[in-house]
Amino acid sequence: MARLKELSSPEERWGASGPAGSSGAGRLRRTAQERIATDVIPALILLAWYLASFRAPEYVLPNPLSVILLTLQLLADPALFHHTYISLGRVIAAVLIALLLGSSLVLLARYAPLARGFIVRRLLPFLNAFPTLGWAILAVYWFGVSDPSAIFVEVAILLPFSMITMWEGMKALDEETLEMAWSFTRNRWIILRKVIFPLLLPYIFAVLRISYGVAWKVALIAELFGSSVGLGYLLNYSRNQFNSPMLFGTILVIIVLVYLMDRLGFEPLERRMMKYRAEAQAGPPHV
Amino acid sequence: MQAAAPIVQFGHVRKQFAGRPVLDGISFTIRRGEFACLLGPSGCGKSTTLRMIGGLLREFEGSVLVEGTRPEDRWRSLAFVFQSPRLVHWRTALDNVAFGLELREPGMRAEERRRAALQYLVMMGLALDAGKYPAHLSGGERQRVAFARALAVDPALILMDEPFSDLDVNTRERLRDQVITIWQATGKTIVFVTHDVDEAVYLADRIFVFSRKPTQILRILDVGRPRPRDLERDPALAELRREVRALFATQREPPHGFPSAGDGQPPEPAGPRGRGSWSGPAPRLGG
Ligand SMILES: Nc1ncnc2c1ncn2[C@@H]1O[C@H](COP(=O)(O)OP(=O)(O)O)[C@@H](O)[C@H]1O
Ligand SMILES: [Mg+2]
Repeated sequence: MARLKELSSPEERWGASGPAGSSGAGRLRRTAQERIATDVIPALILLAWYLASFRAPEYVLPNPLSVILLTLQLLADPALFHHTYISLGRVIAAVLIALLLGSSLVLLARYAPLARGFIVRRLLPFLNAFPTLGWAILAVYWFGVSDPSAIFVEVAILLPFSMITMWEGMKALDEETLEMAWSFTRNRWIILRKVIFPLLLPYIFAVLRISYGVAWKVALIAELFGSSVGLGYLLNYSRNQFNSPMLFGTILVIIVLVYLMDRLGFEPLERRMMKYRAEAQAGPPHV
Repeated sequence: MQAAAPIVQFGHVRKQFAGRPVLDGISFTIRRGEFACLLGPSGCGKSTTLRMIGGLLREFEGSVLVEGTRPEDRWRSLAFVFQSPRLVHWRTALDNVAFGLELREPGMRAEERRRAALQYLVMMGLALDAGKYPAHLSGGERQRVAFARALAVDPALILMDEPFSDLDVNTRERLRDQVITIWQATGKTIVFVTHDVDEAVYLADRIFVFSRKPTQILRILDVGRPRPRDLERDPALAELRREVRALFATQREPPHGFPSAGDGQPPEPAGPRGRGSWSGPAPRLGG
């Protein structure tokens, strides 16, 4: 019975940790062929791009070197990097706000039956269906061209993602474990912190990862309309100016930021917060 | 601490689930310090009875008193050991034992908690497994961790709900002896639920025999035999076992031609679990 319960833990049901273990893509052992597929192919494509850029007009295909230079400038040149870091700040703020707000709404739905119907059957489908562009235009009407305007749009789009995921997490909460906790204390706050939060941790990481990627896609649209600074603004600017290296550089910097956050942020954090997993898998499970 | 003082009192307790009566007017008293077994067929309301004592189930007719007051005010006086161990998979054996304390006494220093937890792990013979995660413990070891977790909060009353029914025969018999030893050493009151006649006869000071549902108390039997017990060699115990079995036989066929014991319940899983229980042949005990 206990064994069954472990097998139906969320990670396993999602198939994130298959028979090969859950060490994650970062620790996969690469064979020579895989290395070629992973690293050499992109290098060849880059080379082809470099050669092709001499034959094409710049606005069609800019020189990859100038694109990379611009990417570096966007990350490190004080004349430009405020666009990058303001966007990044907005994205991070939006991800955290959406996670907290979505979790709170879903907790409310779970523990206040009165609110459940409204939150799950009305608010959630409404938010889920609302078009991004619609929020972006409305945000300018409501908040003008400003920080709150961009963050608002991002939160509005992220909210249904975090609500759906966290709602699934709540539904998967193990009633037996909760009853055990309740038999030891009557303090709901302690149960929330020590039992519910750890049980929800895999779902929280899922929300963070999905949200961070989606937030960048939304950020550009939000900033296109509701901001005079940020990468979305820069993208629009380079479009108007036919500044193709800038356009490509902006896109590349986002790709870099999403990738880096995953590798340097989420993966180590997840590994740390769920240390027990690695340790629990150190030896063969007792039968 | 006078031995005869009541610690749990049930007065004409009735409970229905969705209009179907489960408990049909139950009255009994459990004395402080005694080892009480609640024995009855599957689905008769034994777990329900324990939940009422533990204050986990508060809607019912009649009166339930723990230490003379409402159970929801006495939750600090008791601890549960459930049928499945209900350990949290992200904590080691030691930290699982400390978990009950952590939930109940959040103000206690972590170091102090762990020291207490270790003491009970050692008592359960698990000193060498303190650092293992539940996934690496056997079923019997997990259940001993759960027992240590209950002991660690030093309750006056321990409620055990078929704690050994998922274990193999040998482990089960060893754990029975361990529970008796600890009960004798600590002087706690134990309410032990089982559907296994031999288990009740082996363990109990008094056996409270529950009928099929709608459930009444068929009889309260004083075992009154010295320990350690041997059901095969002690004629009084053999006689008692015969008596309880005969009592059960009257319960096997429900009135009005309904299917037996299940009564809409899923059937008990086959295999070791069914052995020595309600209707099956008895395994040898203590030989
Ligand atoms: N929360 C509940 N909702 C509906 N029915 C329940 C609930 N809890 C228990 N029951 C029913 O009450 C009866 C007694 O259950 P239980 O106390 O678990 O029996 P036992 O522990 O003796 O096997 C069973 O028929 C069961 O289906
Ligand atoms: Mg039960």
